[in-house]
Amino acid sequence: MIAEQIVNGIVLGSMYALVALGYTLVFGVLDKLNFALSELFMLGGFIVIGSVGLGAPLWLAGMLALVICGLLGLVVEFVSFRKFTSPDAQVTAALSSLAVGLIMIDLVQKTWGGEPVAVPVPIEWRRASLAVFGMQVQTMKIIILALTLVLMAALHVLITRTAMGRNIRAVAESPTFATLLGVDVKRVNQQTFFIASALAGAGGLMFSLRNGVAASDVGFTFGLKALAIMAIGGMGDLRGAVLGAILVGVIESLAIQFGFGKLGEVIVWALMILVLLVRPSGLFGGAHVTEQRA
Amino acid sequence: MSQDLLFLTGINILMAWSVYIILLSGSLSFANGGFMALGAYAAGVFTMKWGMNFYAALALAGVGAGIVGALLAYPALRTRGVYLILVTIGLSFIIQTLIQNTDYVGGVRGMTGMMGTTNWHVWGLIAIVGAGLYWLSRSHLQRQLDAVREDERVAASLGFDVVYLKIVCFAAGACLAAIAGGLYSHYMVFINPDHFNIFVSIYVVLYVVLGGVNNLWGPVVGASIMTILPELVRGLASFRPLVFGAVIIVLLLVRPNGLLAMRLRTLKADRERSA
Amino acid sequence: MTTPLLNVSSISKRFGGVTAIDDLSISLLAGDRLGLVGPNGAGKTAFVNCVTGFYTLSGGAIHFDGADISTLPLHKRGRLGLARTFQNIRLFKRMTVAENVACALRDYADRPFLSMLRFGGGADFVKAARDLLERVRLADKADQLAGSLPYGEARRLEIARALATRPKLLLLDEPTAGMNEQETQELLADLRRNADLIPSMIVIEHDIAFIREISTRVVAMDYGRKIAEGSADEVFSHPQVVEAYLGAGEADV
Repeated sequence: MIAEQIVNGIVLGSMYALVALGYTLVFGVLDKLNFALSELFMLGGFIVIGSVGLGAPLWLAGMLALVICGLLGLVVEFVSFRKFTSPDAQVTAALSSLAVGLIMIDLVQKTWGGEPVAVPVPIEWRRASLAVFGMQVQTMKIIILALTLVLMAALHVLITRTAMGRNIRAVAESPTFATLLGVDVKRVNQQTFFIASALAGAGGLMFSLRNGVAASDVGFTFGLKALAIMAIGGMGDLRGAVLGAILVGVIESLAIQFGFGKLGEVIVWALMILVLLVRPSGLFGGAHVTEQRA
Repeated sequence: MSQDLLFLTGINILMAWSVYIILLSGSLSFANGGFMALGAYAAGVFTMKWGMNFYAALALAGVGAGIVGALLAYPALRTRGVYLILVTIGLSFIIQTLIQNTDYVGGVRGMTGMMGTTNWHVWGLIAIVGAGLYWLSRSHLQRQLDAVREDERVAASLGFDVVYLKIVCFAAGACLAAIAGGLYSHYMVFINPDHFNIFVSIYVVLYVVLGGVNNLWGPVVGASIMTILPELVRGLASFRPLVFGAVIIVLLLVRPNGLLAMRLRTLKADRERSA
Repeated sequence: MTTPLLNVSSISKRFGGVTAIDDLSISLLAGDRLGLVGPNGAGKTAFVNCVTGFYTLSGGAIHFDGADISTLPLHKRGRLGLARTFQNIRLFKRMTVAENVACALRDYADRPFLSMLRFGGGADFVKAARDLLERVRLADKADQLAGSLPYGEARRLEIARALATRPKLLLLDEPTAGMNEQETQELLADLRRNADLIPSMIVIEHDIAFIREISTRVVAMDYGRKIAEGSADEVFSHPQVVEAYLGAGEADV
């Protein structure tokens, strides 16, 4: 029973991880706080519903969710972040992205209503299960885990092995220095926003697959937790974001198992405050702690 | 204007000021909806279950929320500004969830029976807080806070205890939000945790951003417009998030300091010379 | 022997793999006017940042006025009597010139909320601020926004702001950068005229004539280390200093 909850927790954590990676990328590389990611997480599920409704097969709908969320990420970058580049304007830009998020919620509610909407998932994904290490695990959960691993591996390769990744890492180190090296910082901005938004969309897509429904309020109730996970894992630490997400997923699942109910929902926030109190650089110590700006 | 709208406008002005007071030291708080909930429930418990006097209940709820706010904000205030934003978002969720799970105050079903607030109380408090903020705006303290807002590190090197200033401002803002919450619950008679969700905190911050962050009148303008306008213009109410979101985005692009962007000067050297 | 006002003993400052300051020791008696010279990147500004608390030390200790300030936060060092200016001017740009000075005045600095007991800017604040502005020839600009000042005036305002805290030691980081010859001479006159408010001073400068005029003692740095110390003549004829300047392409020694 506990093992099963741990598996559930890892599945839940892997979805958090995708959004947390998005937040961490944008924050770690660009030093920007993009609240709209939570709502792109929410949109992921609705894009699938919309595209299947228009006749797309599920796999295509999933791809569309990633691409459309990525493109919307570019819109957010243009509307809320392009003009605010100085460190002073960091909060201004964050507020603007928050307003974009409010608009997304309202548009979804105008289109699909305020109630959760069913996601068309093949019934056998939910019914069937596979034996893993002597445990029966729902096919759906295996699919989610597999997809998440594929996306994380792709991100890893992208960041460490490609020219785009090298530029992104250069900007993360120092935008001024990257400019001197001939890196097109504006381009890196857009690339980072696209990747982060697509990841958030993917997280939301899987969240809605697991639940069988997409709901317009999950951006705030679940998506925002990725912010806390980012802080738990260490601001800007990609590995920490994944580990933190899985830790939080497992803790939440166990909390439900042991009857803490809704209180489990806020453990992540309490944990974040605790981490900021005792280890501001993050739980896993991998964050490159930069000297506070003089 | 109906009594209810007048009341709601007043509460929103108080809430906007509670965000403004924290913003004076350069911190942004998304926890004020949570502090409002704390005040609403605490004052309710004090008057209904403990039989306390209405004013004493309000005062105690305010002071309590101020202390809680200061204690919780301290770890975040020592570090970078972004951390405080995260902590305050967390506080909003934590406070709401704790109330939902506390049977003593009715849990998710809510609490009922609080009475006693009139518009005189609300607008009287607005007069008092407004006078205080005006007094502050002409003081040496305001000058120091302005310096902290512009460049924390330089202000600190001049000898200002920036963390202390930030904590006091945070506690004062939390206190005002809690008192506004106490007034709210004793007007509405019935409250439940959903009245104080994260959106309340977000909207209040956006009122201030809309009206202006640089002087005490900005929050008043922002809160009034966003409370009264949707009621007056038929059909606007249902598009409130959409219109509000769009207005905020455009405003930040063209007037990043809000509608009333002007900063009030704390002294005029020339007037003194001619005198 | 008198105890030094400032005693920096073998401090170092590293950023990741880069060493900005390496085992540096400098001490300063009350009344000293120390010139700090060296090529760009020698660690001069890093030294000022370490002394005033903008950087945390990687090693070593700093004593000021008899107290160990190695780990003290910024504001406590400011209250002990350290004040500085910045290489890249850091005024409160949206405040007026007079406000920039007035906010730094010592009154109520330690008890900020007591100032709430009085209404208004306060005539004594205005008077004190005007006095300081007059000392740096900025009194007629008192009500302008600090952000609107030209370069040279902004530098003088920064000095006035630092003096408002009544420092025991003033640290100037390239005060004449971007100034022409005449402005430099005027600044020199300003500093001399206000010597009563500047008990001790450390000046970072590239302008060697300026350093010769202002300082009683000179320290030369390169690669985060002290390479020479003594009178201006001694330091500027020191072979390592000459070489460091020649290497940095500044042969006008």
